[in-house]
Amino acid sequence: MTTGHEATPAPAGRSPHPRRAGHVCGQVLVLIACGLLAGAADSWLRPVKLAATDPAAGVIPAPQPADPTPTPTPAPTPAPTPAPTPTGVPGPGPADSAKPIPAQPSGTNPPAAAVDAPLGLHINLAQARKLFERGTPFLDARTEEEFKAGHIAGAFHLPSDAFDRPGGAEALKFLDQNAPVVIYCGGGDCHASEYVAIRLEQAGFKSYHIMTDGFPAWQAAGYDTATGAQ
Amino acid sequence: MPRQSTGLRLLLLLLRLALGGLFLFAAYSKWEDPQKFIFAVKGFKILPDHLAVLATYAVPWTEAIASVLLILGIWARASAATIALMLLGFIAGILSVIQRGIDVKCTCFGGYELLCTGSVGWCNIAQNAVLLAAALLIAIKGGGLLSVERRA
Repeated sequence: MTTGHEATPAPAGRSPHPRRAGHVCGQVLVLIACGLLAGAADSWLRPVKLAATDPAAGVIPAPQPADPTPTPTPAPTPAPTPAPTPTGVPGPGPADSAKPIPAQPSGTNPPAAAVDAPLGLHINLAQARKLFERGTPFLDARTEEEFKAGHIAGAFHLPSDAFDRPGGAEALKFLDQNAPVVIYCGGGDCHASEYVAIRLEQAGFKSYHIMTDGFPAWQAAGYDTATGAQ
Repeated sequence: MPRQSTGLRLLLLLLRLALGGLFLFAAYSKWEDPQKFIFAVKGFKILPDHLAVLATYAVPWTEAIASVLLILGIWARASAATIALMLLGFIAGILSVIQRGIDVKCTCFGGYELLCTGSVGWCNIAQNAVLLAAALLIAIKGGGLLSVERRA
């Protein structure tokens, strides 16, 4: 045990410092190599995801027509059914229950072939709008300040750091894991939506989509927005 | 070479324990949730994906190894120098983020925030500069009391 500054005398005419510095540099390289090796082993044991998995069956559910045209098949025609309750609409949550999802505007239904097209992980503004009209829950992954300043009407606030706080992801309790949800953040290359999508995937959600255009595009399009906290 | 005073050796010991303890905590807070940390690393928009993955795992492990050795007083100079190198990298990354005007959280201590809260900024630079000064002092002067140094 020494004080650390002691060194054996260097040969006459030579300073001990370069030798010690070289020795310390070697130790630094060993430490970094150990960190890299341990990190490599750790990455093999606990891999991370760089992006959420593309949901396999993300299909916008086509609404049942209010007055279906009788089919020529002899099979019994089902009784006309009302438009289905939007799947995944939050239950009697503490906050969003007071925020009814806007009624679907008449005459905005896209053709069935279009709405039944499978959706990938990333969707654009028009696809998000169609899901919104079906009552699909929206999750706002931005900060609380941004959410209060303005968000998509009826959206849950689920920032990326909510998953790190006890009880922070309360909104998940009111969502159907088998129904689609749409996540958005500030658009552009914000990573918050990706992070939330991965967390939803890990929580068992089957169908989640990221509106890549983000809130600015939604707002610019003049779609339904709200302000304030949930 | 003049012998160090007891006061300086005691100071070096305290710095070693403080810096080592802080970095051990930082290492654990990053290590416990690599999924969160990699998004913090990606948020800096400096490293390509494969290097971001490497940093996500290598940084906490290197921090942990260096801090444990620093606390124990083994290879104190090298451990402090390793931490100093990492701090220089962090400072450069934060300066780059500030210069590009990117709004990103530090995640220096995982989900915890010590002195600096909110998005990364000059507070983080000042914090890291203080830690860097402590690390450099140990790297130059040695581990002080209760350190084991190989005679060079």
